[in-house]
Parts: sequence; C-alpha cells; structure tokens
Amino acid sequence: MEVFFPVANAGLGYKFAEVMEPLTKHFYAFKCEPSVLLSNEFITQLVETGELYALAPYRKLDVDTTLSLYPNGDLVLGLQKDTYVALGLNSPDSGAMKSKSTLPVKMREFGNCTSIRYPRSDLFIQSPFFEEIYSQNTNS
Amino acid sequence: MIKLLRFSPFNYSSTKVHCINLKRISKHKKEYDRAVWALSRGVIGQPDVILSWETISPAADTNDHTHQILRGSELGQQFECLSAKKLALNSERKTLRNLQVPIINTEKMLQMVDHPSGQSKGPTPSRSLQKLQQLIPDSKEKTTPQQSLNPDFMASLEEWIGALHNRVRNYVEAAEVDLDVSSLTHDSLESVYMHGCIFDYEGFITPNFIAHQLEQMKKLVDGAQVPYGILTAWAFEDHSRSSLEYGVDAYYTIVILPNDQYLIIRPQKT
Repeated sequence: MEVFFPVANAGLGYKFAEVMEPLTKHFYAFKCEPSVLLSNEFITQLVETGELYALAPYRKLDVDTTLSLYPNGDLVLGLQKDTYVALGLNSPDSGAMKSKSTLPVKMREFGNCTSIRYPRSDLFIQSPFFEEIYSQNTNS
Repeated sequence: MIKLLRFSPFNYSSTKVHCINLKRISKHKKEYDRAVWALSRGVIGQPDVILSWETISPAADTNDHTHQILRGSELGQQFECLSAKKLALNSERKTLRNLQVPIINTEKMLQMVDHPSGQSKGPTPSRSLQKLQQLIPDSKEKTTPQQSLNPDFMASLEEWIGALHNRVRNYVEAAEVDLDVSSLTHDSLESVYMHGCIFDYEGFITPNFIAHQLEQMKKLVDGAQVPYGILTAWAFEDHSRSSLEYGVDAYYTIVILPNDQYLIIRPQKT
C-alpha cells in the first residue's frame, strides 16, 4: 500500500510521519492444522472478541488449498475436488446433500435412456393414474 | 453451522469453496464435531497462516461518523498455544523531489453529460471503501446527476498515478516518454512543480488499517496542509467469492480531495 502527498517543502515528510503512524504495526504468522481454528479457545478469545483476518499466503488459487478467515467468522476453504471429497464434509449423511444423493439412483433405474422425456413418460404410463384414465377410455 | 455452497468453480480451476462460520458453528454441536473431525484428519495438512487481530472498543473520542474504534492488539497469552511468530509491517517514508504534480480540482474533473443515468452499477465496494463512504456521507450528493467525470482527465490522472507508483520518473517529471511506456501525454493535466512525500507499507494489511490511513489523510487534506492525497492498495487476487461477498478488492486507488470529495479508481470487473 502506498500513500502519496504533494508537498511544497520536501522537509515536511517527517511531520506527516507522525500523523500517518499506523494503528497496527504487527501481524502474526504460524503453522497449524485448520482444526485449531475451530477450537473453542480460538473462537471465544479471538473470533468473538475482535476483528480477525487470516489467510494462507503463498498458495496458488487454482492448484493449492486456500484458507481465509473474515471478521464475521467465515472460514472459507478453497479446495481441490479430491481434497473436498476426502474431507468428508460432502458425504450423503450430510443433511444438506440428501436431496442430491437421491437423483443418481433414479437415473440408474432407466438404464441407457438419454432423453429426459422418455423416463418421465415411462413413469406416467406405469402409474395407477394412467391405468385409471386408460380403463375409462377403453370402457367408453 | 456449515454452509454448503453451490458448486461454483472458479473461472480458471475446478476448486470448490467450502465455508464454515466459526461464530455459529460453536453453537451447533453436531455440525461442530463433524467439521472438527473433517479438518483434523490431516487432509489439508498444516498450511502457513498469517493473521491480524484488532479488538473492538467503544469509542470514547468518537466523531459523528465512526461508532467504534478498532485498536491494533497484541495477541499475547491468548495465542501462545499456536506459537505464532510476530512480524512487523514494513513501513518506509520516501521523498521524491521536483515532480510535475497534476492539479486536481472539481472543474477539471467534471463535465456535463446529456443523459443522466443515475448511479452506475458496479461491483460491491470493498470494506475500506465502505468505511470511506461512511466517513464522507454527503460527498455523493454534492455531485449533481448531470455531471460526470471527464474521461480524458481521468485517463491522464490514472496514467500519472500508475507512473508515480511504478517510479517512471520521466513521465512523472513530464519529460519525454517512450511510446512503449505510455501513449498518453500530459496535455489534459495541468501540473505544477512540487515534491512528493510517499509512505510505503508492506505486509498483511487489513481494511481497518487502510481506513485508518484514509482518516489521517483526510485530516491532512482538511487542514490544508496538502492539496490532496493519493492512496493505492494492491495485493494478489483473491478468489471471486471473496471479492464479491466480502468486498475484498485486490487493487484500487483512492484520491482524497478537499471539501469532502474523493475519487475511487479501480479496474472494471467483468
């Protein structure tokens, strides 16, 4: 970050240095498992008591796992697909994923059908509702 | 609470984003246990993490626009378990002598347009920009809808600021410039010989840090000690979700002008 002021007198810089003195002069670096960020001590003492920013530096967005933490408490993980699956947060037991996990099972029932209309019409023909209509038509 | 996001890969990779809100998850034991179990199995490994922490204290000497003051805090005992290394921000003061400094005033910046279209829709402003807008709440109202920024002047100003930060001395001093460096000229900029006082900060810089520096710049400009101040922040690009949801910009320039006016220059996002 860079701040620029045009000044008439070159010697004014030292005077402005006092005004432009930053509030925060330090930041911290450490190495830890991400689960440490979930520890109760970390959440109660740091996340809930102030504004906390954290990120994993020197990581390539498209190939590495990235990590960032924002003041609202969001821990955002950027994960490769394999890592994401291996983490286990994506398993069918997870409540949010239940509706998605049922979809492939239905698709398998219709074998090699490539059309979306075909299985739907097939379902309709096999349904009791269709049989009722069909019998009414044939009787009349 | 674990928020499973839609699988929206980044533009250039198959990376998936997973978000865990630490404040909420601690109150939901089942989700909390699951997240701890997932993250403690060593799948991600032990990444290097840099961290900045600022406590929020009620403002004793608050002014009309700020409701709380953020103070840089020492982590001290709270952080001993992580054996964190304390790093200092690099700050440096430089003086550049005899520059052709552009004169920035409202008359030159603004031009009349035929079709006022209201406020243009752009990306979410970054946190430091939002704080600046809180700091100067009336500045937008002072610009009438019939006026818009003069594109020629703005292009020249952006070019000049870019040259300044890249230390292209020839351009900043209005000397002859190679066309490979810049095709723009100083014609649309009225300039005057002055010196440049530069404060350079490097490290893990948070929006609060930038907001504080903006406040200090505004004090200097309002006190007529300097005609204006230019702040440019740049960093590596974060992934798109951070940029959109958290208002984190990787690059922008803010020009603080007298009379509660300011300019924000940032690249157009697609």
